[in-house]
Amino acid sequence: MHRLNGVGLAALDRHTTTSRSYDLLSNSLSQNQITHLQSQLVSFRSALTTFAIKHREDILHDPAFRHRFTQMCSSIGVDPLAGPRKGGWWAELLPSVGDWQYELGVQIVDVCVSTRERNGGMIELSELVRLVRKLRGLSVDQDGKGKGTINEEDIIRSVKTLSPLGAGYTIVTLNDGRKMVRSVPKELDEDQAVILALARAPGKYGRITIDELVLERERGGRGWTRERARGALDNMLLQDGLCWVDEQDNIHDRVYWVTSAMKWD
Amino acid sequence: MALSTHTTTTGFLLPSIHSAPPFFTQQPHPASLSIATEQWIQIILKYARHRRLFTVRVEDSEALGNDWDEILRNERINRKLIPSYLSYILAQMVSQNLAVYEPPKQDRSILIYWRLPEEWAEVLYEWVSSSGNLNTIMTFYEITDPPVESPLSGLPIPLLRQAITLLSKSNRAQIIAISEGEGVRFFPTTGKA
Repeated sequence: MHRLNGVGLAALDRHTTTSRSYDLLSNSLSQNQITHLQSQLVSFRSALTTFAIKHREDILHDPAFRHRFTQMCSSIGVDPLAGPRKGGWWAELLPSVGDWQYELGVQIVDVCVSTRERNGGMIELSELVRLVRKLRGLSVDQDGKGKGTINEEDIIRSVKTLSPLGAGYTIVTLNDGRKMVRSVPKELDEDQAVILALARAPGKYGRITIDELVLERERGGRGWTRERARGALDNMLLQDGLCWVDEQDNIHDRVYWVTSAMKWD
Repeated sequence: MALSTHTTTTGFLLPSIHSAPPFFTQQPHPASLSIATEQWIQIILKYARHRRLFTVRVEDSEALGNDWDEILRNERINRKLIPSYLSYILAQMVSQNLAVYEPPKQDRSILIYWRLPEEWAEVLYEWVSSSGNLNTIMTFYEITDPPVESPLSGLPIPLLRQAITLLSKSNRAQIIAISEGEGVRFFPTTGKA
């Protein structure tokens, strides 16, 4: 009778041969799968590229279409604007569309305009970075690593490219070194910069009173006259709409709330 | 404190702006004012729908103990909507055709259109058809206070009258004088008018 597994040394030999054949088979199977995936990826890339070339005008000119396109790209995990600086494939394939810096500018404008109602046209740089990252479907963590991510430097450079538009996009540096992006064409005077910085101090959440600006002298603060404080706050309130007023405070006649410093859940 | 949403005792979800102290003061800057007012109008409409309320009066922001307490005031931050601002908001609602002054010729109290009269007309006609009351004469009272609660329970008479007027334009209803005052008869959309 035949023994399938053999006996003695023959069994060992046989065992080795079998496992070797299995290895070969599994290797070739996974090789196949990889080739298959790669070819799928290639055809996906070319389809996306064709689509982008075909609809380039729409992408560049129709905001609604562009929005849907970016949405689609981010839902499949492709950053359409990952561009030349990061060596993304988009730029190699489509140099005309991949003008990364300008496109980033468009996203910045998008964020600035859509949050203007909330913050009166002043947005903190870190918040802007967070929102642009969100818009691009990038992870929102702060480490600034990861593929195609953007950082404050990118934003600052892009805001500068926006200046020829004359729409007033500028970077404002507050006294304490924090940076804000202003999207309303208006000079921010020294006093307003001080107030903005104070409104963002920890625990303030945008709440400012005249007394605070006047009395802060003891704590090494402003020591402004009452008139100066009132004037600066009223300017922000009445002319620029950067503040809201609350007239029902227990102690103060008027409490000013800097909308861009208020925290919304 | 960061501003957050809040659910009231009647289960209404207030937006986070409702916990911002300046929201209860009329803003001097036109852009801020229009943003805040728009938010107020949305809150008032949604709450009216939530509680089936039809009237807001300027006085409602002054004294406690009315249906609007949890909207027009925020005890958590000790703020209440300033009456003059509420009056402005009501005027905005009237000008946007989301409400009318009721009674007319005053500006202290409005009838809220959380459904527009056109929408009420359809709701009314739908209810009459499904409850088998086509072709019969009904009093206003039978419509606004039916034995079984309906989508029209508690509907103010002026609003009912507007809805009937709209239906009569498409020959679906007719106001008729009856012994107790006024009644209305509804007609099927097909067949004789």
